[in-house]
Amino acid sequence: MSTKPKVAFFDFASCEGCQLQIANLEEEIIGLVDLVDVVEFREVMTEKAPSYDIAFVEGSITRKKDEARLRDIRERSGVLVALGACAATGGLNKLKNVRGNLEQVRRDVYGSDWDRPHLETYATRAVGEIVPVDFQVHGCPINREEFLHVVEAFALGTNPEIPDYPVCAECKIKENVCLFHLGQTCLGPIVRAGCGAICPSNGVGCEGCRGIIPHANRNAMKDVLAEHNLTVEQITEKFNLFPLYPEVTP
Amino acid sequence: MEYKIISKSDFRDFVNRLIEGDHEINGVVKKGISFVYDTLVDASDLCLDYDETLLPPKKYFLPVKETLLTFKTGDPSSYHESVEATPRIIIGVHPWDLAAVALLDKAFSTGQSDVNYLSRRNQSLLIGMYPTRAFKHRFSGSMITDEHYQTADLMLVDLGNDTYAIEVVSEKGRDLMGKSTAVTADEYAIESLEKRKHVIEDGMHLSMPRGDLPEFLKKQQQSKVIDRRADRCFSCGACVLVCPTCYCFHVEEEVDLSLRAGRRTRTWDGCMREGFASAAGGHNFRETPANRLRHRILRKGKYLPEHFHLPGCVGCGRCAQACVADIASPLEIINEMNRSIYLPEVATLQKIKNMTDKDRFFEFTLEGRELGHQPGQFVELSIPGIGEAPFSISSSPTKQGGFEMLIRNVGKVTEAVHRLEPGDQVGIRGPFGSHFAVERYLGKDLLFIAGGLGLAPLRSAINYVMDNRGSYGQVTILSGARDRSQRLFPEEITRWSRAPDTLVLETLDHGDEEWTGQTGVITTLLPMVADRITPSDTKAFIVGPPVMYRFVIRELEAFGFDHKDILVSLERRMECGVGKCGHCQIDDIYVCQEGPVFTYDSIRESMEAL
Amino acid sequence: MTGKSIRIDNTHISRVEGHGNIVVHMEGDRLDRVEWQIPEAPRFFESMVVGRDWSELSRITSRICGICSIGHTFASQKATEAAMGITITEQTRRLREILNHAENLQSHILHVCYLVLPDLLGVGSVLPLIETHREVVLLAIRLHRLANETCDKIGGRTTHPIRACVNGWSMLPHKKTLGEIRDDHVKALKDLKTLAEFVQSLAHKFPDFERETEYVSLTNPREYALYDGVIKSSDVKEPIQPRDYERVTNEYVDDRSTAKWTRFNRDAYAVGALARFNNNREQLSENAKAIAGQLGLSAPCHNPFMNSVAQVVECVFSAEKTIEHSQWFLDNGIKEEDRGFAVREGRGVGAVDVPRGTLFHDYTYDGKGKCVEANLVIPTNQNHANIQADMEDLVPLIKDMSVEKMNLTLEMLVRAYDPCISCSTHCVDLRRS
Repeated sequence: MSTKPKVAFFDFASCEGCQLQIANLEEEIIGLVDLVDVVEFREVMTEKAPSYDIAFVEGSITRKKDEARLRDIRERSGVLVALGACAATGGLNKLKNVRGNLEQVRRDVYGSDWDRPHLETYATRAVGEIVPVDFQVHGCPINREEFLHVVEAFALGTNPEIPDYPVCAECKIKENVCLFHLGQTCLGPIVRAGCGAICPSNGVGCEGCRGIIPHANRNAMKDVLAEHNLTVEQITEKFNLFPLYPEVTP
Repeated sequence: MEYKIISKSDFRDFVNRLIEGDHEINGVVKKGISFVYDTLVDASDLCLDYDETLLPPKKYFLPVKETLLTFKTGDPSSYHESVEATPRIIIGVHPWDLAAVALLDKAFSTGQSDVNYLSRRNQSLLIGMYPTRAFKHRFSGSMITDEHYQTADLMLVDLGNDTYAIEVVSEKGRDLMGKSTAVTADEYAIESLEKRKHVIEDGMHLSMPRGDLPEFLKKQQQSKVIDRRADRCFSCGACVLVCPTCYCFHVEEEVDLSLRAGRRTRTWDGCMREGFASAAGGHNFRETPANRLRHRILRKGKYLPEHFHLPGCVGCGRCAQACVADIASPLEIINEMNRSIYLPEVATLQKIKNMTDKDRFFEFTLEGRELGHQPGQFVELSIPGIGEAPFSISSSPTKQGGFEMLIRNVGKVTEAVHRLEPGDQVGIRGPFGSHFAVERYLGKDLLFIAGGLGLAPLRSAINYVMDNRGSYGQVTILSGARDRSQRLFPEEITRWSRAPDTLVLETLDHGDEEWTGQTGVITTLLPMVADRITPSDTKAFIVGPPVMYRFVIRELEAFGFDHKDILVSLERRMECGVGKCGHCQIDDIYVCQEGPVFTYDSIRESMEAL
Repeated sequence: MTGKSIRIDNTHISRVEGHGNIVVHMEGDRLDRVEWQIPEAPRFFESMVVGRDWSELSRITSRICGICSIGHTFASQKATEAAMGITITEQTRRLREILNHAENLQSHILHVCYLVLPDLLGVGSVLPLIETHREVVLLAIRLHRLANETCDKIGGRTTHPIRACVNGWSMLPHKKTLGEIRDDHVKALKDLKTLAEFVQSLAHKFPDFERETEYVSLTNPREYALYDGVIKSSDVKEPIQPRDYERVTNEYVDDRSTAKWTRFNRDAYAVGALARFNNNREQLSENAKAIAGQLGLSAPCHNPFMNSVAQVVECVFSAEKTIEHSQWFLDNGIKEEDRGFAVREGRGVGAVDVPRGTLFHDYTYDGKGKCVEANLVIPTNQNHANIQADMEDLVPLIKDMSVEKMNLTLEMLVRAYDPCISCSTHCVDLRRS
């Protein structure tokens, strides 16, 4: 019998970009399958398994009927990890909630067919809003190095450590010229690091895909953005592109 | 001191020859609109005419992340030191960065030597550079002197005519320059060198001698300057990451994917980060941004200099540039702490509202910050040429975008205030004084008793409570005015009465046909709420004309109130606001310092208070 | 014939992106039910973009798909550029083409090597092949990694490319990076030749099934169309402008599917690599055509299983074009360009042929640059009806197989289309009345 941890991947409402990062590990996939036993991963293999040591779940819950499938996965898993922003915080899928009127949202997409039973939907929820989650891997998409660190930690029996500090720290280490000095704005000061400040490093302000840090100073962020000539409407839009309004519990 | 000169093009050739040698050659290069230290591929990359680099040269001696030990998992005997160092020459280091290197050298060699740092440091040659450009955040002139940067092996001075002059500081430096075409400098060059070394001036200066900082900061530990700035702090740690004298780090272990081997590493860390002083078990020894900022300033201005006898902050200004919230500059913080207590700040009038025939309501904003007051405090308002007078603040600290005051036209200053229009500016000092500590009375019932103009300062506390309504128990507000035309804040009184579990009762000394409410003095309202109030669960706040206090307090005593649960605000003639001019004294205390808010308990025996 | 009763209710189709079900109920020769169902949870992107600023649209819509995020980004940006009357520079276009080709290569390698090859070698996934066919797996990984690294170098990140902006780039690569890309793709052509030979050795395992099909793709007189072109159908002589795409797509809701279906001149049509090959084969290089010939692929081909083979041919094509575009930069250099433009109201359509087929983004903006209406037609939407029609024709031909083999063959049919099911459930909006 193998003593390697049994690992499985599942997806709900998502673009599957986070699971794609597993394939994007390239040669490191070989090291990964030496470390763990991948027993179920519908994207990539036909096999299934009855239970798992670690289940990675990508995607948000957008229908009542998906809750049952999620609860079943939770029952059969030792550890459940939310993989990516959609699972960890609801991600972009929560933009649907921001629009407010759910019936209008459904009409926008399906027109007069909006209320056919198979087209049901409800306000988007993160995985952790339905079942207890043991760990979150943040990002849209996830950072492959962080994913490997999480897998290694669980394989070693320890808890993974991820940054609780803001993206600004990573920009400084990389010697990026601060985007605020270039006439742009950025949510780096309140968003969780761990991505290597990849968007500011490529000339685009942080949009908050990794979620808000604990103890974030939202008021100061709003003040700084206003000082850089953003209107209240623009600031609100920045805060709800990715959901930055609720506190995220790690 | 030996001096040489070399043409810039010969210097470039010299650098190119060094690049071909076995040292790694690092120097300042352009990066976008800024500059960084990087490995040179060709001397034409070098940009010695720069204002400031994003990171200091400490990254070469204390890398952002380095391996201290390697190991095989499960085997403590397998821990093995990992020390590696590349011989390098670093070109273009400004004097203050050299002073910072001197501090780091001392920190890593005093006591037990840090072989990782020292092996890198000892294999490096430093070619310093006197500055050729100003940097708007720099204040190094206030923080370092010549003796602090003898850490360089050579110092370059741009003489401006396509020539560098060179101060030869060390033996290694002399040997290095021996390989170039540099020649001995003549008198004229030396004279020019001395002038140009310090030709760039700082835009800002410390408002006290550097040597006074440790004693000064020792007395500033409670300073509100820290708290106001820390309100905007993101705890991102950018300030400590870019700082040339910061060297704190975080140690951790990581394993390979094979799980069989790994390494212990250290990574830059800093006291301004939220979790820096957190211990296992959950306790954070520096939990608030204010605690952390306080520690940082004290470390730079007091602890480091006292310990190492070297400047703890070299005034480079990188932290000020890096801070998105614009709060980090030690110069700004110290100068603000050291600001004359008598110097007003400019505030702009935003809105006016007439309240009664002689009372007017004003909203002011300060430049770039909130007042940061507590309910019950006061400010001193100045109009140049007219005078200065104290006014209690009528808005809650929870109100964003300015503060409000209700001002009655009774004298020289207030008459001038009543002539102001939106857009006009005044001077403001403060906030001063003690406050209604409602933040300590969570869960309690609250009784507010306002006589006439007393409603103005009480409104600050009442609105704070209304903005945090769920944190308090039952609220009772009693308000008395002379007649209907003298009623203050009528719309808000209505709004308060609609809040959950809140009762508002008003009385007028003189009613009229349209007034359906109670008439009589304020004490007539007290029996009406007797059933509602449980004195042992209630805090009472009283503000009104001097004559009111004795009568109201007598009634509350009859209810069974404890003297420590009754708070009053006593006005006196306050002028300086900082406990010096003497006008506001009651017995042996200064009202501007220990009041205007007092518990009845503390003034009951006073001859002068009530 | 025997009165065999066959029930296939496959709700766990593996090695496809997204959730689809295959349902087959047969009594003897009577086909009671053959259904291709889409139960995938829709996310309502068309509604999410309404009210958002033009600068955010491509950042939101790239998240429709993790594999084709680059294709969505470009279709989105082209739609915005069309709406606001913006013409991009040659430099911007060529950089987009390099990124588009890199995505094409990355996606096709993933599909052919990781998702389809296991079927041809009788295993459940690519994982056991690490032991049994290590060299092939390492070669596939090498090509996959090259494509991803190229995306990183030009786009900043392969999934949800950061640098791609309306009318330009937030950051440009160094000239020497383009040199690296060119040299690496020259080497990759050798690996692709090896891959083609390997696939050739297995090509006989693809079922020999044909059904006359209408093929839709972009077409471009300048070259085999991917990034830019007008719409072509194999059934129609005249090409159709992208802004008239609705004449082609004609979407409707089917009860079996949370994704909408489309039809044009027949009950169904197909998009994808095979469609592009059928429509534009003549424009491929001699080298690519030769490889197609070796793989037994000629135009027109109506065997859906050959889509994977067409993808291998397109890998060669994309590598060749990447070399050509990189060389242009080495000859002409790269310069900073101003991305600014005047925001105005308008409607625009962006059409791009992404790995799985033709993708349309259709946006309407108000004068402040806020999106007021959006319409998206995803390649896989356009394939669903065709998959259904294929299944209906295929099932009677394979009914004498064991149920396991029938199930596998039907799964292989679905896989051949390389469907991106979760994207297709962001179906396009109908015109709001």
